[in-house]
Amino acid sequence: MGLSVSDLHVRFRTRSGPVHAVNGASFAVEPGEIVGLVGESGCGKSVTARSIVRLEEPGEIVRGSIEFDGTTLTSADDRTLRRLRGRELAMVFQDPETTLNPVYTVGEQIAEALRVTDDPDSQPFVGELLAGVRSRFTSRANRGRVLELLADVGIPRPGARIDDYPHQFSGGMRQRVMLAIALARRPSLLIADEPTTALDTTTQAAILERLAGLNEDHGMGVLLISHDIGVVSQLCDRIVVMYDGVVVESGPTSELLSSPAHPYTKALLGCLPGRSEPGEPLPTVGGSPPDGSPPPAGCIFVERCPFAREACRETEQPILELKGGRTVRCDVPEARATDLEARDESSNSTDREEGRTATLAVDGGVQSASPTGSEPTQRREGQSVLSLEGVTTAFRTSDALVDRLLGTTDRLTAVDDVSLELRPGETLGLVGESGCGKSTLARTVAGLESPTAGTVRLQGEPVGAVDDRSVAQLAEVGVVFQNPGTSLNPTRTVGESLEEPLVEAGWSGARRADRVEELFSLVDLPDAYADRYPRQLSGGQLQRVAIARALALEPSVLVLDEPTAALDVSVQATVLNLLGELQAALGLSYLFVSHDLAVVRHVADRVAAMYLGRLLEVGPARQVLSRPAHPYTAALLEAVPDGDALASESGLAGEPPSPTDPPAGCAFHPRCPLADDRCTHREPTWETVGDARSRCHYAKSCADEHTSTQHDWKQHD
Amino acid sequence: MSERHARPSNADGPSSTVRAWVREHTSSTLARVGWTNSSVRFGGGLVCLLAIIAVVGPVLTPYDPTAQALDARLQGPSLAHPLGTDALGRDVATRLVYGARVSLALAVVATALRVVVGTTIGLLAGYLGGLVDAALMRLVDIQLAFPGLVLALVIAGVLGPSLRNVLIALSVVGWASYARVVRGNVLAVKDRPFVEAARLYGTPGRRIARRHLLPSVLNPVVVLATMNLGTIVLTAAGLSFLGLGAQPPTPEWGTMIAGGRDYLRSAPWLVTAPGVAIMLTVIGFNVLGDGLRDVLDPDHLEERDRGRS
Repeated sequence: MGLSVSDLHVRFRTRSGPVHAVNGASFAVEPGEIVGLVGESGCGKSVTARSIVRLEEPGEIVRGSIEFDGTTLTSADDRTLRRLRGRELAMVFQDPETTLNPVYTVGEQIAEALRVTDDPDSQPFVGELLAGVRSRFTSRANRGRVLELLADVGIPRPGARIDDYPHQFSGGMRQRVMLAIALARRPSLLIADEPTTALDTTTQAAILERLAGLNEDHGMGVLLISHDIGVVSQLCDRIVVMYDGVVVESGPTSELLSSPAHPYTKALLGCLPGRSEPGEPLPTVGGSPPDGSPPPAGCIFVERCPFAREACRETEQPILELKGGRTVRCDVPEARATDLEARDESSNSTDREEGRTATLAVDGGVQSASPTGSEPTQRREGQSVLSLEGVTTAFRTSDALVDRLLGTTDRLTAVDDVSLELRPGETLGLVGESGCGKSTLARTVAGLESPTAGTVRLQGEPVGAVDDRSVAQLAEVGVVFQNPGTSLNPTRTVGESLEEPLVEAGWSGARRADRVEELFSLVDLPDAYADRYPRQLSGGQLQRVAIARALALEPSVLVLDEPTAALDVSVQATVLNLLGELQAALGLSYLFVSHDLAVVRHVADRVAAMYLGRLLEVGPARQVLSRPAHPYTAALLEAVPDGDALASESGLAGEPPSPTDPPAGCAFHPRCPLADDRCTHREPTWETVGDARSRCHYAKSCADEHTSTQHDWKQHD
Repeated sequence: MSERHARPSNADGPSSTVRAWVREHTSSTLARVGWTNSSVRFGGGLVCLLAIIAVVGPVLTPYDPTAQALDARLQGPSLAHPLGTDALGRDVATRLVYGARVSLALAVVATALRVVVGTTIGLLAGYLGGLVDAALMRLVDIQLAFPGLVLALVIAGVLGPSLRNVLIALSVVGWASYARVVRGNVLAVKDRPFVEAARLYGTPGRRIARRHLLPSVLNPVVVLATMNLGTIVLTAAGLSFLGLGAQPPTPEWGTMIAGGRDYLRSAPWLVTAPGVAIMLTVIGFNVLGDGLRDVLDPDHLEERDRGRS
């Protein structure tokens, strides 16, 4: 019973030949079990998931079988499949932006799922046409069930939201609606394909918690797919690790995390920034991820494996049964035996022996693997490179001509009276949920938005927006954007894109060519990439190019707006290492914007937490992230997936309020566990706690509480 | 792309190297314009054929398109006159060939004017935004509010019937769709991080428009222009048919149809030949435009790229 996938092979036909997406995956999901499927992008996880519900088009299943409760899905006819999809198998996709139909209300979309479940065989074509005009769930019973489902997935005030359209929901709420649609079928197996990758850490925690609750209440099996082993480990009973379309290791979560056997599992675990000391280079997975070429005769991981032997190349690795129901596809005893920490050390020490000549091909590029362990925290005293004094940035909510002429539009204050300093050589982590104004603040610093009040000072000089800045001031700040795919002009080669800032700064041709070459070596990419177009590079490589472009004019400040949020965990590790090396070598100051506290903890010297455009807490990273003096920071920390059991109900409840109409008193009070009457009336002032400042009436008691509960991160490892 | 392929060695003489170079470059150029797409092949072939006929045709034919030969009036198709002669004894095939020159030249010039005007306005409106955008787009709305053919009729009527005035009329009406398409695409592209990055390293506005915005919005313009060439040929012929365009004895397809109308029953080839020519031209441009739309689709581009690398 349950789901079992055996020896699944899926292939895509393309012009350039077949792409081998899945090459013999086998695993099972027992009823009521939560299983995590983990691997880097391109390892065949999503194709496997889609094959289970038979949505593998345009791929084709060439070999193997998928069985679900005695039905062979690989040979089932359309009618059987429809019934199974309608009642037993449900799927939740990654991007909640595109998976809901924008022209129907969410209630109607859930009601449709209910109707299909009640009668999966009926396809009332004419009825649908007629029903199209009037609301489709006038019957009270259905509306009641829809409300129940909305409440079930944790949407506050479902009665008020049921008739809203998808665009009126935030990303997290939309993902909950997707969950409700999936649950409407009362499925016995839910397949969730990266359900939280596009979401905030706090929202992610809430969704994962909801999944766990649903599993408990309904006995529903869950197949949770993710590239982030940290996310999966919170929730799952068992973990299946996939590489190049093959399962390389599987086993119960706790054993797999404490003593991973396959080198790939170890590498994936090592990449997590939460597991390393802050500032230390992260262990990376060498080599490039699988590209869909036919699998080699021997072990699939051989090219990237530090323990590979000659024999690994020739013979396929057998599947070994370990104790505790674990299986691993690796026949090299010392590869299995080496534990995580020892592996890191051994790779570090070999690199040191070979000196700086040791290079690893990382992400297609050449990276010098020299974890010198330099302290990026070394701080040069002196004037701050960048300072913000009472900066406020507001937008008009309507851009219509009439509104502009009459001046009738509301103003949305995205950044509200923020004062901050960035010192030379330091990394300031700016954290907060989506929509808290951290990106707007970064854009104001870069000059892409002009502040409505307050001053931005660069090296002591007040600066305006981009158009008002001098060439020298423009050169001072480099910006790296979140999505590497759109930050380079697709119609120009990478080399041309890199050269452009130099052209604008008036450099001569020969000097430009030298600098471009220099930049390529700075970010560890081969010069030959200069002739390539952005679409020919991977995400990690593109982000390296974007970093190189930001560095072209030798800035002293880099504004990094979620530079790794769009990347795989393994690629993120290489990019974070690169940023660390660059900072040590060039003495750069970073303004590092991120919603991921694990990443911020790894890179930042100081941390500033933002909420509804306001700063709520500022202080040294070590203090703020171990003894938060503001309940908001504490809640953000709770939400970080760190391999522990799920955060309890102390996680951040509800959604941030609308920035057009911020609450009176402390902006955070509607969601704050400590809030009392005083917080609803009086806006708190800055309180100093240790080296940090917090804007909370109860800053001291909050910090003390978190000290006493030993919420100390560093102990975790 | 081809530069990165291994070059053939020079050992077997320069001629083979040159030949290999030519082969490599023609094949990659052909692939770039999408010669692999069957619609592009068919439409492009038809259009190329027309262009060749328009260019070399007059050299091949022994007749003068306007010289009258009243002794050879209204002859049916024969070896001497493959498409017969008209009421004044002029060779229809010859007039058709000269007419292709007129029609194609008119279509190309009018389209070029539309593209330049429309793209500039769209680019300005999209990039500058605000009041400029509002003003320019109202201008576009006004233009679109007039039915194109009727406006062209009015203009041609006011300025008097001539080919030059048809050209003016056709250029005044069609640019609005380009402005809209370009503006929409500019709006989609101008907030992309790569444009913001360009602003951050101090690129002046005109260079942002030229280097970053224009190349990204050009593909839909090319498709639209190709389709437009066909409609302009049709509209110009229509105006001439109504007597507002080319005046007799100028060999123009619309004028030829108008002249042959009276002999529809006795000499059907007089109307059929230019009619079929117009039809083939319009089909050719439309199919080519359709194919180009598929080929220039960004997803498609990527697939082709993977296929070649």
